[in-house]
Amino acid sequence: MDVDLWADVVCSWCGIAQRRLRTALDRFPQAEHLRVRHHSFLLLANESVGRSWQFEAYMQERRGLTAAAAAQSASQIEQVATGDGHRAYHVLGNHIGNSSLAHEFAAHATAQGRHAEAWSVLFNAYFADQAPLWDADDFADLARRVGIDPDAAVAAVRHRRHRREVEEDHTAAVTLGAQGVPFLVIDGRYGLSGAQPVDVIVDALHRAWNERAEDQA
Amino acid sequence: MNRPPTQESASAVAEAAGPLSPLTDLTTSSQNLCGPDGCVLPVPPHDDTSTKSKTGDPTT
Repeated sequence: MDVDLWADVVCSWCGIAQRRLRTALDRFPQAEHLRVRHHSFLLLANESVGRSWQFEAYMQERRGLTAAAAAQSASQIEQVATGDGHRAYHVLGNHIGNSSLAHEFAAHATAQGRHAEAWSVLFNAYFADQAPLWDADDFADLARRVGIDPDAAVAAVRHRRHRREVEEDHTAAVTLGAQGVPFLVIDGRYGLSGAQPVDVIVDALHRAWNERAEDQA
Repeated sequence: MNRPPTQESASAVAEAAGPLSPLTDLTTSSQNLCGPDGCVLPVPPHDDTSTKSKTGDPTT
């Protein structure tokens, strides 16, 4: 059974959702029979690739928020992450921007057989370590952490070799009706929008699994 | 553990579901979601005056 999670690496709720999905899979007895895949969604596709803003600056420049309002919203999400057990989760003070290169790096790693590792490293690097994701050279160290050749990874990102795959991923989510991310699709039939609680994800997995079994009976 | 992912594209997932057979939405609330216009924040606990989420984090 397929489990597909659409996310943006720089989406505040997506790192939380990814961890919750992992926890839900640990609680799902048939997890070994699941095929879990991450897909790209670009929240800031209209911004220039390669440019980033400090979070508070973006909020003020692009959204007209005060620094206090930006800090308050970021703090709420950080508190949820802390409650979920993240060792560090930085929204405030982090940089944001068009994350196309990060997604293309993930697509390159997927082609090297390191799909899950790439997404895990990207979320951890961005939210815990506040690693930059805006230039091809930023991905050399991440490639080492993922376990793939850094030079090849940097070249793939620099030459935008996986740009089309990432754009198709995004389009597929829109086709499925996603209004944003995180967006979880289970067995191609059930959708969960937002970083839902672990219990909700586990229940959805059971429901889809049982219905699939009934269909095949 | 989980089976490794294949190179199957996301469009295959979309095609399998099909635009004419929309997903069954199991979402229990509209919170904790980020869209192009912002992120929906969690409802404050023990807030009996409003059950609606608010938008305040427009991009991350």
